[in-house]
Amino acid sequence: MDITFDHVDFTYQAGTPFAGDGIKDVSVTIHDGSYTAIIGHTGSGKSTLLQHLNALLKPTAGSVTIGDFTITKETSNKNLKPLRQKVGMVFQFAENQLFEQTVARDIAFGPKNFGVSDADAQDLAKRMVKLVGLPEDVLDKSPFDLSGGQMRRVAIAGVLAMQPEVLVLDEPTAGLDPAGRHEMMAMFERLHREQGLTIVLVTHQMDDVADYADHVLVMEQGHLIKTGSPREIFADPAWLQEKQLGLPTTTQMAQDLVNKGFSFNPMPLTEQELADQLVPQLGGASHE
Amino acid sequence: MNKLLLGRYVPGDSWVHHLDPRTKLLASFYYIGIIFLANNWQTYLLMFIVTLFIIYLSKINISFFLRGVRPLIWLILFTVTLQILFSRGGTVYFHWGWFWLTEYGLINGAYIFMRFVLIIFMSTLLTLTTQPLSLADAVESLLKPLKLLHFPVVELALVLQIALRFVPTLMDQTTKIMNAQRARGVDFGTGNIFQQMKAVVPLLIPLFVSSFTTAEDLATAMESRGYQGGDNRTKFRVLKYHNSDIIAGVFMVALTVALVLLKN
Amino acid sequence: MDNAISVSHLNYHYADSDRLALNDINFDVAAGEWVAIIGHNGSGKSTLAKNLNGLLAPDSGTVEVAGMTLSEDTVWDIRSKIGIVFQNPDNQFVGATVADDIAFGLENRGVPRPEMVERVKDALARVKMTDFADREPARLSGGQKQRVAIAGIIAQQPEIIILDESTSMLDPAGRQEVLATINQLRDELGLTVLSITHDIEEAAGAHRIILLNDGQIKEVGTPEEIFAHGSELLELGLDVPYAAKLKEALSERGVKLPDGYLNEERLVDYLWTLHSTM
Repeated sequence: MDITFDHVDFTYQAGTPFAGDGIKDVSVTIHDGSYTAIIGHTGSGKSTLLQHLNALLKPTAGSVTIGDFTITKETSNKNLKPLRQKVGMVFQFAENQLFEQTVARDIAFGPKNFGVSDADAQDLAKRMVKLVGLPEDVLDKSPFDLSGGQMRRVAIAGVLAMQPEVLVLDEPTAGLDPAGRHEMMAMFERLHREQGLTIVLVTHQMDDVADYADHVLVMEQGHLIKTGSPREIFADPAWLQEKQLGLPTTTQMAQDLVNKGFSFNPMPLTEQELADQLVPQLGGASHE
Repeated sequence: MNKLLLGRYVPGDSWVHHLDPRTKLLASFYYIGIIFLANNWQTYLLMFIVTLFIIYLSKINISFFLRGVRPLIWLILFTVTLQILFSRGGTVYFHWGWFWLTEYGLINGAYIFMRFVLIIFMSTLLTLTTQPLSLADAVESLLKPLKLLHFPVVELALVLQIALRFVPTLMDQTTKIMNAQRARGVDFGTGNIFQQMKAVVPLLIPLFVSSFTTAEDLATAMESRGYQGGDNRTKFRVLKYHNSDIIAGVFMVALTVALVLLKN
Repeated sequence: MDNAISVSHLNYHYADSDRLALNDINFDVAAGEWVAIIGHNGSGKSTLAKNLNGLLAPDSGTVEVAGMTLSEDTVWDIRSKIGIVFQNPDNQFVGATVADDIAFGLENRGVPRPEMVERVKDALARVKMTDFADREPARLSGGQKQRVAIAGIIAQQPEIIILDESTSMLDPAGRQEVLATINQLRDELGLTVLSITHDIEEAAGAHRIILLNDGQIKEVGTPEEIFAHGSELLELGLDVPYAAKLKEALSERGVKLPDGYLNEERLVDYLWTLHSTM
């Protein structure tokens, strides 16, 4: 399911705390089956863009086409459910959305809203809990008795249980410790690879962009200023530094080495690529 | 919701804005008191001129004040109608059973209408020109004598201040949770009353939970910053009367005198 | 040199659990030192911080802060010597405006208003938030809110500042802001800093690292010593510093590098020497 933005503007009502964080003239397609990263500073319009992916916001001008749905200013708020089912949203600090008495019921909440029977929803809950790497015995526990990291997984399971085609992730690893972060990113990668889930990831972690994404959108002050593969985006470190967006650690390291006289082509994105390109450039001394 | 709570205060640099919030609070109450002295067209005319003059001083567009009247218009019309239909005296224009349409009735109705409008204008002026926080300061300062009766004025003021400070935070949180639940297929504001009530549960519970977390975190932070309650605290925010507050006071007294002289 | 913090045989357990959240913790922090406490979520890091200023009372063991032994009698004095910047920027902002918030701790201690005004002004300037004095918290970024929290602590003229995962909810720009502010204040005021973190970069800047695991101190050492463990750190729920990852990738390809930990700068330098001998 492709998602296409056609000259989308969104302006927040004057006087609200968000005024000024809208988006302007955004045209882009997020292709079915892609892993798209959206990067940009806080307030660059990333979350506004995100909320258009399942019509939580409707463009003030232009249109967003999501599969068979076309969303414009005039679109009615009714009948959006089938669309919301297809695009799952994991918001920042998703654990804040938990409310049911048990984990199982919370995970089943979404599917049931979309018309899945109680029995099927419970079944889904069981499968999803496993999918996000939690033991089955959490199903009957209260979500509020779990650790922060486990709560986050339950919330994600609740979104996955809707069986969406597109999974939108807004800083899904914020506040987790490194081990939790690695596990969670690996889980999304697995879902992407094994189930063909289209993933849209908003992140500040350039390393995650380099490691996982195949397409990158760069936002600045409401405008989409650049799109391309991670390799294309990170090929120009000077541009990124000028935009104060930072580089993946590998690319930063490679950049430092370039300043010392090394050369890389293409610019490496992961430490494995860097090591591959480094070995031939190190003298015989290294093999002593 | 945003408009209701945050849009009330209109930042400005006028003479009225700079008055001490205590002066404004007391003057507003005093004004509402003396308005009941007005009982003929001269006194009401005086009150209108004075009120419009103060509004002019506040440099706030009159449309804000008219908007303040709008939500209450049915209540006003209802009261005015009752007044017209049930008071008797003077020339009778119309009479049917319990209902009378008389000269006095019409005049009283007009007076009540004006009284409503004036009171709404004045209280709107108070909230438009005074930050909620300053109002809280004013309430604290004015309630200070109650401390002698062991009424926890200082604690109350701190609670009020923290509540005001967290209004935008809570609203932000509400929007976020609503979005998350809408994305999970909840329709807010559609269906019958039972469906709507049911839809609120997934919003309210997370909101309660996060409020408790916030409260707990806040208590921890306050304690580690040395908060012990009690009377040994000093205050950073202080209120100070200026010359303009004296002028406002004198003005109110003059207005009272004029009203007493002009009234029947 | 005097110890700013001295902890011996500290045990603590939460009422709802039999497990010791802190198990026989012993360590000292010298005045002016910067120590990072690292460990995965649930390893006891934040519990430790709360035991240092009496927010939690130890089951047994002693805590000494700025020459005072923590007890019911000293707890308020100790709290004036230790400031904690907590994780959530919103949930520690008490005041209605930036200046009000900075003044909060001073109000609590009954500082006379004229002095309070001076100290608030000074603290605002130190964290470069003077222009924001009358702003409401809703109109600040996460990094700015944390800088206000730091200013609120600085205004109380403490000796020790604890960063309890203060940067974990911030974006990279906010994180840089906060760390730069802390570094600058350390220079200016000679503060002792205890930073609780799982950000490996934040820890790399410290003089010493205390590695916590399941409520116990696993190891204490310089960043070089701790990071030399390489991928073992992953098992403790921590990140491996980038230079260590690259070193491993190179050694898999037969490139021999010196033992021990090299930070990124030194690794670049070393690789350059290999490059230039080609």
